[in-house]
Amino acid sequence: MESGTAGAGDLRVTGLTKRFGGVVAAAEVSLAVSPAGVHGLIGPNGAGKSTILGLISGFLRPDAGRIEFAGRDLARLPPSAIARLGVARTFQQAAPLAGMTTLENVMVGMHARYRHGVLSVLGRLPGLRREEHEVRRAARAALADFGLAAEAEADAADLTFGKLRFLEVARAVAMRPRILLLDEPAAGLNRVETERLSGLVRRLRTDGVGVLLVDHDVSFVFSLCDQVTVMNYGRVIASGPPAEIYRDPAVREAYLGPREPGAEPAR
Amino acid sequence: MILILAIGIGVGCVYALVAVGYSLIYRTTGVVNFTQGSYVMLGGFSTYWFFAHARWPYPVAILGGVLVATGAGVSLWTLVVLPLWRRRSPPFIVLLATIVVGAILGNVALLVLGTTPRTLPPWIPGFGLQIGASRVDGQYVLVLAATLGLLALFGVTLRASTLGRAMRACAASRETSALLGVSPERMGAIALTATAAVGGLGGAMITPAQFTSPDAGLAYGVYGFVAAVLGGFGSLPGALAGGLLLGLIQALVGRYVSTNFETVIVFGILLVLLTVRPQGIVGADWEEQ
Repeated sequence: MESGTAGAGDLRVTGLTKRFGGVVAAAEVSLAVSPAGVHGLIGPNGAGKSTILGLISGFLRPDAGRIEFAGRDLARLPPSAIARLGVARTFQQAAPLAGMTTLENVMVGMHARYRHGVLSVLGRLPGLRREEHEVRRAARAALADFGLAAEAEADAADLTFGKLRFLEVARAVAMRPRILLLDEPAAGLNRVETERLSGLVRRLRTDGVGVLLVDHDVSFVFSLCDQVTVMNYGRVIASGPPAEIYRDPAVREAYLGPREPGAEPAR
Repeated sequence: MILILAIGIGVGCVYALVAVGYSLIYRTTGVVNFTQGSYVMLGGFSTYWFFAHARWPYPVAILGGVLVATGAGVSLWTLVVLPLWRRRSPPFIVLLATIVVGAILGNVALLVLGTTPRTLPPWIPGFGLQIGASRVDGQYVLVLAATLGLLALFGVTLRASTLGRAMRACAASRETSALLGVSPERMGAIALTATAAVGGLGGAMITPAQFTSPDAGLAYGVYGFVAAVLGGFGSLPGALAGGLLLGLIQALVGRYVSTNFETVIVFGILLVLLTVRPQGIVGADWEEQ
């Protein structure tokens, strides 16, 4: 287990364990995501990467371990509260809010920044109009950033695969998160789109956002990350800077692919 | 004839308000809340109690009636629905719980004020509308105006406000909404508070024109539900169309056939419509899908 002092804005996962029936999906996983850092989480299918994202974003409850961020244990909070604390995530399967426009999809994500109770709705109608205007403008800017300006008024469910993925990321970024969890953002994207995504992730880092990047595309992950954690069968098998991970024999065998046939690790 | 139509429209408006309650809560939370009609009864009955027994000034009594209905809605959400929801109870358990609460509310009203149907003075004394040879009770005009106003307010809020977007987001996907920082629990609480208040206001408005008895909650609950289904369970214009259609059919059947056949004919029409147009009269919903 890691020791040492955590930075103030760190997302710190310690000893995280999750079982589904008899299957251990995550076993004592520890990792940390720092502001202005990109942390890669890789591993074969079923390694437990998505379980970790589910636990951090509050859709799953851990059997053991802690998820600390901003002085709170996220394991005790509902997903909406975690999002409002500044931990946003995207899904591998883009989940647009159908029946709402692309622009509205982004605007919902900004809800956390512009919160209104029923009484304030009744009490400050003029202020609300101005704010509505402001949210709309900021949402349009966010769409333009991701090359979605032309689709602003389209039903989000009608977007093409690539555009839908960018909407997913744009929506999360518009929430101005401090930590952003990206679940296989490059999967299925073409080279141009992947390049664009890389540029956006780098810019997030420059803006001080901490990114946890889960992906299958090893070259994509290694080109972006400062730190990489490798999982296999729910366990962390290696963690460190990309260059070190790339040379790690255990990682090469488990994930980057054994050379000789029949060398797959037994369960 | 004009008078019959006025009654149909007035009562139909209340059905429409109840129907909006059903669909707003169902779309936001997935819960079918069968106490929706009880708020109408509570609004009418507590206004009567505050006015006739506590001798409050009429406008204050109306406000009190609306607040009692709202309070019942808030308590239902926090004490009954939310605990079940958090435990992921099956929908039929939640539905049963709301039916039981509705029955309890009806019985409490019965114990407090007895079985006698009650009525209230008109909101604006002497206000009426001369149409041909008939003079329509001004209260019906108020009910229609308030209903249209409330539905427009709901429509604008849902379409063009942060709160409305958050509610529509919950209707589209509660999981994605939570991910975006919108709490479905909070949205459910707001939806129930708003629709209970509107139901209570509906009760306070319709009681001067109609009688309200303790079992009115059940009647409004069932007819409002039918109106919601007729209207497509989600569309505001659909709820209005469903409510008015139902109110008018009921009034016409009651006048020209027999009040005994009201229920049979209304439910017969519902069955036919459900078979022919399962998506409701309007069928679109407030997400304009």
